[in-house]
Amino acid sequence: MALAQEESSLEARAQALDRQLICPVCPGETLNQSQATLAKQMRQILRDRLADGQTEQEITDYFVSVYGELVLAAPPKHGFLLTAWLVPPAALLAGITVLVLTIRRLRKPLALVPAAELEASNDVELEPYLDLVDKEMRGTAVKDQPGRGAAPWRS
Amino acid sequence: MAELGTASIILALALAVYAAAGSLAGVWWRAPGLAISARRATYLVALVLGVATAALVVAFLRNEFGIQYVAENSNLAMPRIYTWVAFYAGNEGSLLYVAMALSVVSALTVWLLPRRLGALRPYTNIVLMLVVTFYLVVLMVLANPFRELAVVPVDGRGINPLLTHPGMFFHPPMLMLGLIATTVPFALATAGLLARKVDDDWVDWGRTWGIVAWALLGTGLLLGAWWAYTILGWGGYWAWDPVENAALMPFLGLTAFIHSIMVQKRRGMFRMWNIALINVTFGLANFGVFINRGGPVPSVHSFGASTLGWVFLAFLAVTVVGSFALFYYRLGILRSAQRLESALSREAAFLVNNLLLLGIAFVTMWGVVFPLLSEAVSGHTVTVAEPFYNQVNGPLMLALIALMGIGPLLPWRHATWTTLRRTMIVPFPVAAVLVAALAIGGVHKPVALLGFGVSGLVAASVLQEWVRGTHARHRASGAAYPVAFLQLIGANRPRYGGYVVHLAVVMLAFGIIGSSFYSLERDVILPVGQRAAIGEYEVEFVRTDTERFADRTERTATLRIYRDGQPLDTMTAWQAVYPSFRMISTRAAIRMTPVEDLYVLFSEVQPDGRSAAFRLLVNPLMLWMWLSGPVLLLGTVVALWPSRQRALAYAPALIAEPRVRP
Repeated sequence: MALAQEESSLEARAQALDRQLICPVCPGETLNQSQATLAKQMRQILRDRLADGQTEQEITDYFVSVYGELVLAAPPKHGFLLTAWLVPPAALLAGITVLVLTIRRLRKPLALVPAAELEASNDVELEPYLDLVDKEMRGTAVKDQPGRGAAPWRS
Repeated sequence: MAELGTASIILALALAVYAAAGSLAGVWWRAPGLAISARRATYLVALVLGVATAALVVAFLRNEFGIQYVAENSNLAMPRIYTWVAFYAGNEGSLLYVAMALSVVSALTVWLLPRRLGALRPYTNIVLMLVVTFYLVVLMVLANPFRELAVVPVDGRGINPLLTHPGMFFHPPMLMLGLIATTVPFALATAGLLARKVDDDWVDWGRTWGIVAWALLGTGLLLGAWWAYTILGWGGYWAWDPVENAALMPFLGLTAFIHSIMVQKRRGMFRMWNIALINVTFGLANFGVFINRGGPVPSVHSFGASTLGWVFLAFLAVTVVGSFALFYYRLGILRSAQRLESALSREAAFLVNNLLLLGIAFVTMWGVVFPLLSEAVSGHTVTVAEPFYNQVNGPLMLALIALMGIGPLLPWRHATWTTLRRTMIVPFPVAAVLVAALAIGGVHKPVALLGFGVSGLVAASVLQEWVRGTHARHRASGAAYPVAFLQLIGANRPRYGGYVVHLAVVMLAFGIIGSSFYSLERDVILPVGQRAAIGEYEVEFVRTDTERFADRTERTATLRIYRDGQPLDTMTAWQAVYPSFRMISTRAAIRMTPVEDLYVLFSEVQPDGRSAAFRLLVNPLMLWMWLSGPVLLLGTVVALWPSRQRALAYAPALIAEPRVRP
């Protein structure tokens, strides 16, 4: 009981169209997902129209004329609604720009203040930081003992 | 029970306030006694909320319909076993669950912080207890699960039939736990800022809790997909529904976080970025709570209480503004310890990883928010659903998987062409051969081929690492290969756990590619005794059995499956009609093999009583998607398993141009 070739390609087109239309009375479910009576009726209507020879665009336009634009599962690509499609690539480009600039900036050498200058400045506020550095160096020396196998972070 | 429950919530609130205030006072007035006492209060909060939870569960078990929440979510006919599910089925109960979960997680966090991180403890306690306080105030004032009815009804309304599914025992609690656990790495990072720490003390536990929250949230999402697949009746598992998206976004943020935190742990870099990232992730988690309970966007899932929505929106605003204000204020003390040596390095790859993950999160957010925006700005009412996300997020996800294959092949600091050649010489050709083999074997859709190709690249690069690493160990220590392999994993747990998780993602990708591009679907009305064909199967409708209960009518359809004319299997599909909820709950008959799923959904019995509507589906590779869950958890466990050797904590805090703010 295999489906005839033409029937199956019509059905394939219908299924694709089901996924592009929203059931108007359900919260955001496509015709493919919804179990509502209206969704079933719409699925039948679109199959009948496809069998009659209408194109996907004509059928979509028909449903939009009856239910409004919210019956489309994605915003149409014209007018104000085109921004829905333009913003993501723009954001990605902005992100890539930021990334490139960040990589450039992170590659610049850190402006380390030479030790002589530090001592000469006699800055009392630096003391806690210098103590911290001393403590770290002492701490690392203890941890860095050669042991069996590398530390888990080394590959 | 109602009095006990309400009293517990009030007591917990008082304790939480004391814990936050006491910790703060302990630091300000340098009174360690106060801080210790505040910590103990934190443990008590968890205990007291445990009592409140128990009170609600007992109220359900004793059918105390005088309590409004119990009456709304259960009835006399409900099987006892669903009590746990009914507990969090509604808004108030799930908020109590969230508060309780957060209090337990907070107690654990504070308890586990070692003494050497003493400076962080009180501040972490403050942040965690402030969030707990918020939830408890909401519970007490707006959403008390123990509110009583003036007149005690004889029977309750019953549990929502969609929830009577094994998945419901795990999906909501894990998901909510994962979302709320995001608070912990946020609290640790914020504590570091509040304590004016210039080093990376918080990173160890920040990473651990980040991974824990990530694993919980990921498992929750996967369980939700499984639940949708078996019960919702359309044969799919993800609908880009606003509530699904709301849980996905913090998951993506956490994924980015657990990767870039590795760079901070290993090289002391990305200090500023990681704080900003965890702030954003916590914000996304709160945004998720807002969407789930505020209902500005309609969804299959939402609880839809509108006053609550404003409260959560306000909380979201306060936490985002507050956390970034603190971040900006402390920016001066956060300095990277190292510079980025090359754009071709693992560090840079992690930056690209973050870009892609946040890009996907942004697109998802945009899709959720755009209908509201469009309505407000132009008056057009539009829907943003699957086709949008497939076209926009699809390429980003492909790029992410490709990066997952290339990233681990890049060395730290910088890559030379020689090292690159050495690491990439095997995986790329293997992936290419795989693609060619698939193309010859009948897979012709270009996007599917690309998807399989990048997935193959990941698998090949992971296997290459395993083989080379094991071989090297075997050569060095003389151990047999299996032993060498286990030793390799044991010595590099975070890395190899990560590899296992990457393999889980590949399995997930296989399931998504197979089912998205090659599934077959057919809706039929079958008379009893007739067969319908789909793919290489034939499905015969044998008979229906009906069983009536007090609150529902259950029907089971028995089906016989044939392949190439030969009988293959017998399956049963099930449905239950609930007149009081005006809902039908279904359980699809699914025959799972590693190659494909045969999926039969029993829809309506026709008026003549002798035929029924069915949806038949063949979904390739779905089993791999579900298997990815346990593999993901295994990888997480390996990655988090503490090793006897103390981890090399962090790079010495080299500070460039220290700017000390008074």
